[in-house]
Amino acid sequence: MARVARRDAAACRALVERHLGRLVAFAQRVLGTRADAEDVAQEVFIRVWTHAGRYRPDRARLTTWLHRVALNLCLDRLGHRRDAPIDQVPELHDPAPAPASRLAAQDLGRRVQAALSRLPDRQRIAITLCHHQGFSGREAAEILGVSPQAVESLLARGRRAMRDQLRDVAADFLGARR
Amino acid sequence: MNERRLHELIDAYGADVTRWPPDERAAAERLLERSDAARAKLEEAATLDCLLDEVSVAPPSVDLTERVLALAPRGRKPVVRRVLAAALPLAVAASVLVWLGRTPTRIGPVPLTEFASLEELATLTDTLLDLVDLAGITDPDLSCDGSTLGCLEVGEDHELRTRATGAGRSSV
Repeated sequence: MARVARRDAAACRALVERHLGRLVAFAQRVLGTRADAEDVAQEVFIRVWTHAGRYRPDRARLTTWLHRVALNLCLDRLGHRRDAPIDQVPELHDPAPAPASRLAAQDLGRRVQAALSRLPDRQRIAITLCHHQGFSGREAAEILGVSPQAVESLLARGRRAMRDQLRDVAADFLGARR
Repeated sequence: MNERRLHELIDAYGADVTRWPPDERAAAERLLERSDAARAKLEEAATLDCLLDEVSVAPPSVDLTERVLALAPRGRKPVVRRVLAAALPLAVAASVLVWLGRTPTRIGPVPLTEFASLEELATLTDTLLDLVDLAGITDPDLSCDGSTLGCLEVGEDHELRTRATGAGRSSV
């Protein structure tokens, strides 16, 4: 980051190549749409270019810091969506249930994403941070600005809701694997 | 670690024990070996973990990567600003050093030899008197009767004045 603050082109490229994919994935799982996720990732890096000199490695890991910035941008967008008229809210893909024989991997992924998108925001964010992004409960707590116990509670409630939503899908999924 | 806490860990973090808090992991795994209920819960959690893994996200396109990089500040900071930023403190430091190191000019007594080289002092009055020919000027008659009051005669006064002027103008 010190090199990025000094406008070192190679350091900027290395930073983008290392973190852009993770940030896009995080934002897409939280927001549910690719276009919004790319916008958020781009805005994260605009802030990085502007504030790289203010980053303090003794306070937070770089990836934690980047996710916290991304999370704030995602929460802004989620807030605007709630305020926007219903016809302007992006439609998330939510296909109808299909027989196990026709459950292609891509289709299964969309259905799980749709179930994830229906969770309350903080439960979805907690699952995305811990399960998909690989953060520990303590790191997720730092990003969310809550206690580790609160994160555990969000995770448990979110996973229970996912299990309930995907009960049929899970049965088909297990049947297809046997 | 007890059965209840083990179930809480599975509910929150799923079946992958590497996601569990490090400080509780070993004790939780030991208890898991002895608990059939916990192992059943673990299997159910593993199914949900697999389903969550199905939410795949495509890697960022080259176009997006280049767009992000295009927004990065390019090159080093402007040369003029960098030079000024580096030179200003040096210039201030150099000025202070010069000021501290200079030899002060002391005002001391003037040597007597300097006075010896000076010529006779001449004042403005001396100069004006030189310009005027006093020989043709007659003093006004003050109606003084010199015989009784002891006043000088006109000619006598002029003679005295001429002598005085010739003897030393510095006294005028």
